[in-house]
This record gives sequence, structure tokens and C-alpha cells, in this order.
Amino acid sequence: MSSLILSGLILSLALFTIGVIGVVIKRDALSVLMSIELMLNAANLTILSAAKKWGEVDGAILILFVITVAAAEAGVGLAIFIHLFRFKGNINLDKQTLLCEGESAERIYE
Amino acid sequence: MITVAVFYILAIISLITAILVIVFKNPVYSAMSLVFTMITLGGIFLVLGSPFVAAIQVLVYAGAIMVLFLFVIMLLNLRAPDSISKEFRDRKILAVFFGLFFLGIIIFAISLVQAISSQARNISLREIFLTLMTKYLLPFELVSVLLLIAIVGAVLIALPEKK
Repeated sequence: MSSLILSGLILSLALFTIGVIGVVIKRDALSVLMSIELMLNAANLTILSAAKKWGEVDGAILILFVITVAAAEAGVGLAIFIHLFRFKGNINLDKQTLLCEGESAERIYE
Repeated sequence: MITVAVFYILAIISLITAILVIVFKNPVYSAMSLVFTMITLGGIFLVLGSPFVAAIQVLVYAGAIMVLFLFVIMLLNLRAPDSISKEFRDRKILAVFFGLFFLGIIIFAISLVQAISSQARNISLREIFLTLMTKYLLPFELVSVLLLIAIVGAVLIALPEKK
């Protein structure tokens, strides 16, 4: 049984790393949000693997809360992306300059 | 023995579909791979002893959240090309190497943890809700308020402006 828990931890680690790579290299805002969801799933797997050691129920409840908060965050994030798309015409993260200061915007995005 | 075999099969499938999420350039293919990843993760949750969490994962995560993603992807009609950032397009190998390095560091950290023992007991629905309604009542209510705020906020943000 302990090998299952350890394998679960290593699998969640691998999924988390894949999510991190996805967040860094994707420039589509929706793909970044999907990689964030992947990272949240990896965290859920970590919580459940670790909770299996003691058989307590608190791990399952924490996972319920994490899933709920992820749903709320995905909903609001998607609403923001819809608004941004309506405003700008694309959701290319490389081209967003609203939060950049003056000259550095042109320097980064030639 | 058979649970270990099922776990490893599901683990390999989830790893492959997770890698496909970031490999596909088309966001719709990417979202479908993520749905498969979440479903196989639900199976892994089942093997790890909580059927309720597995059911919630498939119903809520794969069934509602990812469907919402697909709605938005198709609503915004996103195209496939150029979904990888310009800085990383020529440096994919560097990105993968960075990820593997990160992985290696944390594997080293985990290997320092002592041996983990476990009980073989499924977490039942009755236990979850008894504890949820007694010990975790306040977070439960707060999460429902959070959901209400998220719904109102999302509708307000995405409403078209009145001309």
C-alpha cells in the first residue's frame, strides 16, 4: 500500500511539472488556464495520496473545497478572458501591454 | 495486486494525456486531452480509496469546468497556429530541461521522507458529510458565498456593454 502512496506522490509531481511547463511556454491565455487546472489536479492527487496514510476524511473534504474554488476561479478567469477578447480582439498573452510601463513595452515586444 | 496494476495503467494514461495537453497547438484538442487526464485522475482517486471524491472529480471537474472551457474556446473561435510563446518556440528543449530539473529536485526531496504505511479503508460518503456538517461547517458556508460572488462577478464582467 505504501508503494501506491509514493507512486501517487510521484505522479502528482510529474503532472504538476507538466502544468508548470504549460504555463510558462503557452501564449494562449486559455491554454495557460488549462495548465493551471492541471496543476490543481496534481495538488488534489497529492492531498489524497497523503490522506490515505491515516485514512482520515479531512483530506477528501479539503479536495472538495479545492475543486469548488477551482471552479469559481475558472469561471471568473474565463469571464475576464471573454471581456479581454471583446476589448482587444485576441488573447495572445505576449501582446498584452496594459500593465506595462511606458518604454519597456516597445522594448520587449519590438 | 490488481489495484497496483490498475493504478499504473491509469497513471501512464494520465501522464500521456497531460503531456498532450501542452503539446497540442489547437486549444480544443488541448482541452479534450485535459478532460481525459481528469477522468483518469478520477480513476486514480478511486484506486486510492475515496469513491466519492472520484465521482465529484469526474462530475464537476471533467463534466462542468472543462465543458465551460470548451464553450469559451469555441465562443471565442480561437485558432490553432502560434500557441507557443515566441521566446520558447526555438527553445522547447530548454523548457523541457528546466521542467525536468525542477522534477529532479523535488524527487530528491521526497526521497528523504521516511517510509509511508497506510490503512486499507475506503472513505465513505457518510463520513465525509458528517465531518463536513460538523467540523467544517464554516468553510462550507464560506465556499458557498464564494461561489455566489464568483457567479455574480463573472456575469458582471462578461456582460456586453449597453450602447
